Amino acid sequence: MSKITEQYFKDISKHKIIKHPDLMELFKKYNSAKQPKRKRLIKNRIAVANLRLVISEAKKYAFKGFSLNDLIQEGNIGLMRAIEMFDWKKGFRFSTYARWWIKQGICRYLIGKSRTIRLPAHIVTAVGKLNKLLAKEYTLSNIGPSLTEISDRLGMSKDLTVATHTATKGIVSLNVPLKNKSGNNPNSNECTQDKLESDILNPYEQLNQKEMANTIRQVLQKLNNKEEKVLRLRFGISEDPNDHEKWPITTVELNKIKRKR
Amino acid sequence: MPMPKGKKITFSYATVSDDDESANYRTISKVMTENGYKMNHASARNYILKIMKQFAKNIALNEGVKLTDEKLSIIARNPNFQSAIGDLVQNEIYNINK
Repeated sequence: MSKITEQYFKDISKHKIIKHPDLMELFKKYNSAKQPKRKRLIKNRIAVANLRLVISEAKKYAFKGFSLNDLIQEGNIGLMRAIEMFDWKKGFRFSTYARWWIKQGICRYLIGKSRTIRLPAHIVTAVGKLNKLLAKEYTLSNIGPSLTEISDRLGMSKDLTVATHTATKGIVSLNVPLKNKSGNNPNSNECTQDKLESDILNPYEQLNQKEMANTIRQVLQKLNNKEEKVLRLRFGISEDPNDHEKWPITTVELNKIKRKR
Repeated sequence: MPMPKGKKITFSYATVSDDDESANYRTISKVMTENGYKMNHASARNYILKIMKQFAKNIALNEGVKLTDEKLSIIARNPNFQSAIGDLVQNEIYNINK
């Protein structure tokens, strides 16, 4: 635990916990207060009295590799929201209500920061549901459910199901050295990026190539028989390399004609 | 008589020299005549240039450029252009046959 966190814990321990009846009185005053300054003062008092609640909730998520300070900070934002939204007239304890807001604040932070590529919160929720469903299905049988079954059971569209499934896939760094089939790292320093650069054309080049092929095809379709034959002869393109008798000629025939000249 | 100024591709008659696969204009004319399409070497060249012009025109239009007939003729005569078109046509025809 860092020194800052320790100091924060010491500071918090100085503030006393406010009991339920007193807290309700404070909420009554908070709701009836018209001056923003007074409202802010009461809000601060309630918040300070409940900071321990945030720590207890943040500690549950601290193992996920995130700083406890950050989690507490996000939880505190949730606590502020809980104070604004709490309805004392319903008679429930504030801690019961605030815990959910604190949890929500922390979870939102985790969703936003846990992946290299940020996913929208609803997709992360859907990923969780999908993983649960798949784990359950694979426990029961070795054959997983089909796409239609998954989308029906989760109540999602097929597109969203596919997007969710894609989101579950891990991220691979382009700088990771390539492995051969046996799983060992070959001696070469080739990495994924090198492989991608050498093998695959970028989308712009692919499109360009397709357009060029279309243009060539268009012109070829317009050519008459005579023109096509001249073109084939000029570039040595044969229709059927096995047919030496008929048009067009193969390299062997071409050489014969050359010798005749 | 002094040599004409400029690059050879801009004024020369021959465009792509014949290699193992391709035929020169005289060979083309000979083969075509044998197969019932009477033509001489100049006609064979004119046919090739006409086709190359069509390719150049379509490619330019595809890129959103409208070229004059004179410019199209210059491009059509360019051996680099002819060689590139040869590769593209070859790929296209072999792809169709597959």
